[in-house]
Amino acid sequence: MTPPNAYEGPVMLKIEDLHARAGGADILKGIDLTIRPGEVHAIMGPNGSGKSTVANVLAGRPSVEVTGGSVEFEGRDLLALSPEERAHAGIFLAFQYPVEIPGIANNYFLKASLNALRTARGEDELDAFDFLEVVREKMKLVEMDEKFMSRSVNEGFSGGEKKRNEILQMAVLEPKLAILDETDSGLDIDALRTVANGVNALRTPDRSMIIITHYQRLLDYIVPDFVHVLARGSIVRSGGKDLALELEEKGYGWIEDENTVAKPGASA
Amino acid sequence: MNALSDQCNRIVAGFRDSAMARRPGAPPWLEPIRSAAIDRFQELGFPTRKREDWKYTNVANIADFLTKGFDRSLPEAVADADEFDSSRLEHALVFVNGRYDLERSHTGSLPSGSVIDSLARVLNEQPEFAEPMLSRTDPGDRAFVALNAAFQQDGALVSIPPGATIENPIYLIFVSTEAANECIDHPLNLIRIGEGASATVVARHVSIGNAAYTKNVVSNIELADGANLQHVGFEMESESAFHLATLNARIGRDAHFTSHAISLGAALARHEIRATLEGQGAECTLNGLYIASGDRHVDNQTLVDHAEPHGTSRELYKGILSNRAKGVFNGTVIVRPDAQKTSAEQSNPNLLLSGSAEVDTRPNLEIHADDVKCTHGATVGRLDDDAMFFLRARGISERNARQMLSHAFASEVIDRIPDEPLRDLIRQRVEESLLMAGREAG
Repeated sequence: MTPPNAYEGPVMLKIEDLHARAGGADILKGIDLTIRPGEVHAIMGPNGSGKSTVANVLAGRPSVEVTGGSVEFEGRDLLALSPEERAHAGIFLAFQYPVEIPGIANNYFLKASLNALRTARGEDELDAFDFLEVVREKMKLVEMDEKFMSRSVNEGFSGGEKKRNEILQMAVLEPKLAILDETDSGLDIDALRTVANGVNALRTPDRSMIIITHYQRLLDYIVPDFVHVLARGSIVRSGGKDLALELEEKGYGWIEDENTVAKPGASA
Repeated sequence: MNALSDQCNRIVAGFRDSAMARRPGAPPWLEPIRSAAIDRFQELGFPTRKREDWKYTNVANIADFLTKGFDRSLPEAVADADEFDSSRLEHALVFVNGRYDLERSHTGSLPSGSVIDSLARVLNEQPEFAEPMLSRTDPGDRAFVALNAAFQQDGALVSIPPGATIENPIYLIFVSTEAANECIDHPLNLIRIGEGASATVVARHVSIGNAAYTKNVVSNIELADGANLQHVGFEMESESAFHLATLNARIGRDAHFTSHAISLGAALARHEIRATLEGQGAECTLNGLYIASGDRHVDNQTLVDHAEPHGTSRELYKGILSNRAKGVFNGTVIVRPDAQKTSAEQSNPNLLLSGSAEVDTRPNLEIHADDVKCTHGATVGRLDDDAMFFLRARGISERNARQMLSHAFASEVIDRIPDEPLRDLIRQRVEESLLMAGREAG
């Protein structure tokens, strides 16, 4: 079920027949997805359908085991790369649950991250002064106060502040492919709008995005080119942005009923 | 006769036979103190692993070392200690291989009545300053404190008069060079903070080169009522050295004693603290950080004794162990029957960076009063998988991510260290230790 290609150009990400296990269960059971530069794909689905597992496989979380299929990113075998090599290659995961790291200042962390990427790309590291200039500019995008930079990474941040911090990292690291894993979860409408505005400001003709969400709400703000519905570990339907509206109206039961895979209680 | 008691007897006999029992220039009252101390050592003998506080640390190698070298005199201070720059410190007493180094030592302007000097010099020139504290020396059940009292040759005497505030840290720097190989040093530090006075003392143990030596240091500290002392013990002995440190603190009414014990070096390091809250409303804060890699062994023994009401003690010891290193934390809190309204907290989190590193942690509360608030907790964990993945997903290499998280774990203790230049120096050394630990673990 490859969607119609509205975009021309080379393939950035090609997922073929991807199978994965996590927590002792088969979660992904054959995913196919092709993404070209500049495309924004939404992956929707009910809880336990495997949405976050897709994100984690792409970013290389060690606790998720790929049991079959392939993923190519710009022609390279993505699955052979370590998480840090994937980041160097231009993949960014905005975490559903951003980790709190007491004792590491946000600016120290982000500078280490940016410089790791720059070094991998053969660029000079930024010094503290130049880094500060970059960050100040990007913080405006997500309306973040500078005081967050001297605090420990995500420690004591509200849900909205954590998500804004993720988008700030994305803005600073300028990935080729950003994967937003339930970035809307736990956000009130104002925070959602701020985060979405930040993401929209980062849309470019070259940058692709995968927006993973349970609800259509986020897609009112970040309008996708394609919508895929994931159920029980496979994509059961793909379409344009209108598919999200249809889902909102009819619920996931409709899709699941239509694709009677007949596996009661399957998948985590 | 077993080896340990044989070794003990040889040291005692050697002490009595040799000129060590007599010391030219020392005041006459010192002799009976030293003589009583060697008697006490003979009674006690070297501690064995049957003792609760020595259960995890074998003294056989140290006893060997002490038996072979107890009559060896301290080497001369040598020039390569120059790389250790004390000139930018306002108050610094420098001891090189156990000998006071007059040239590298200096003090800035001090309130009148203050003494910051070598103990041996004070004993020769104004012994009345040292007598009260020295005559209160009681090794109790501790063999190494008895040995120190018998064999001590020098150390620091710090006496701050009532009401005085010493702004900048007083550094006591103990440097060991290659010339210290096979030598034994028993420094004795006496620190007295007068009523309402306030000071910071940094006892820094550092090595140039990789000599094998044994240092058995004792610090006797007294805080008068309302006094305030921050004591930073910063141990970076050579990786072939044995380091034994005993700190005794007596804390008066409404006085506040804070200890920061940072242990990064030595083949075997043992840090013992006994703090007694002797006056009402006394406060005792014990911070500790021990980082060990390779085959290092680091043993921390703390005892906080609440003798009077309304006392507060806060204890945080953190350990990071990698490779085959072994850590010990044995933390005892005693609340005496009179010590109502005591508030005591103790915490000992440990981070293991490799499968063969080990830690034994034993919190031990003895509470004999009923209106008290005491908590304790000890954990032994590994680096958090989620945090590791988060950092790596941001492009940070696995090794650097481990380094960052280990440092973050340690920073809770480092952040509490007073005096910014000192804190930065310790942070830097901790970084380096963690790099080494990460390399071995990885």
